[in-house]
Amino acid sequence: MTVALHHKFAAKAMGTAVSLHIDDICDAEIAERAWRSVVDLLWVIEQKFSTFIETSEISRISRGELHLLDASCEVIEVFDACTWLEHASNGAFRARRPDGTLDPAGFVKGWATQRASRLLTEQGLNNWYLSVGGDIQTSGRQASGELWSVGIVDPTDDQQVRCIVEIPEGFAIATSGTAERGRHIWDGVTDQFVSPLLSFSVVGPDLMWADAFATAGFVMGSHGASWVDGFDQYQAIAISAQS
Amino acid sequence: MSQNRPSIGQQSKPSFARQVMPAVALTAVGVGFVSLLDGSSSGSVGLTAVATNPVVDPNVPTTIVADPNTTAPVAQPTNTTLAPTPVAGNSAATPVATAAPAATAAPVTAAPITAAPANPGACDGDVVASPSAQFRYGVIQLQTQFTKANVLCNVTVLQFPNDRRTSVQINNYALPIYNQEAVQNHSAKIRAISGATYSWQAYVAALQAVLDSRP
Repeated sequence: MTVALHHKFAAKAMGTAVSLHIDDICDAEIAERAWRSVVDLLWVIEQKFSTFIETSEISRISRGELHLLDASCEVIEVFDACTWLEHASNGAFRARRPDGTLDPAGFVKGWATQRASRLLTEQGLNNWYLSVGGDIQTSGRQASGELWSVGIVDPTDDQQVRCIVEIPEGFAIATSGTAERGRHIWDGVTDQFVSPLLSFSVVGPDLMWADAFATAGFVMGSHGASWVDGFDQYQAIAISAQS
Repeated sequence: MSQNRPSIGQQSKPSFARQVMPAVALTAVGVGFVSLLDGSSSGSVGLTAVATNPVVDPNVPTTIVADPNTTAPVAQPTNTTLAPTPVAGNSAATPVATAAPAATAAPVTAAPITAAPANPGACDGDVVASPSAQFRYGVIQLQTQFTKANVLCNVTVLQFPNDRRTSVQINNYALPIYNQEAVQNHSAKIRAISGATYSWQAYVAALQAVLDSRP
């Protein structure tokens, strides 16, 4: 039995890097078990939602083998949220590619991360952050008592950190940018990939909304930040190109 | 038979709306869009305050009160000298990516900040962080850098406050790129990295890996 203050884990999941830092004084086995539950859940979600997995529900729905309403409740929940987001963002957020193929990837990562982070809370952990490909849900504070500090990548040079954001307790941060994962961001209104912004980060209490707002806000461009301000407790950090 | 059902995309789900609306309640759109640091006047505020006091000890909290009306010609040279300074060890990705997990010294911070030959024009002088500057729309922390001749040559936004109620927009041109030396000086503060997903294929995941491996 090893009691420690810092517990750090990293793995590959959902096609990206997953990191969990726990700053609770707890047994290493407890931290390890929590981490394994997170990885397991992310794996299960990936099997359901990945467009790269032939047998995933999303792939089957796209091929017409499965109707959306016959899908699992998780898939219905995701598309429910996507539908709401399409309306709330006036079409800037879309869960379909221009060719009509279903692709809720812009929502699933944040949604999955938030679901995984619930497991950590349920297991009694209070101070941690969970990062899935740069979308981060935090809880509590660092062991030092400081808030979790997150560096935002410079959109023009991904070898640089552009600024540091201190995340309020229990809040999350997500960032969207150009060419994100093979240009999965498109403008639902104009079917184009153009944005005057280089990077758009959203800080807020729930990662699934922060992530979705970042995706939509980036597409909205110069209107994105004020749109995000319309949601209580959510705020954006937009990095624009030279105007 | 399921094919006869309507698309879910055209159905409204009040239950879901009830679920999410408390969390994302729309407030009045009266909150104006804030273009913070987008103009030279705002960008120069922090510059002026720090530039007049280039020997600020970063450890001593100095409150910089921004006056929106301040005009600061000293800020102008900043835009002409914004080229990212080539600092020794600029390719941090390499050591980061190869860092053994057991390494106690994170390469990002361990890299020595070498003293460059005295060159009054090079942006290689003191790096000064403003602990917290009271800005028009809230509190913001800036980092400034000076040449050996004490000329301001680099400004970076380090930190946004949490108590803001509005968003910020950074003009990528108005504010220079965060140079490697600055990252070395301040990476100790960073615990996680957020970026667009594509970034994770390169340096960012590596930097996160260093953060993961730190004691």
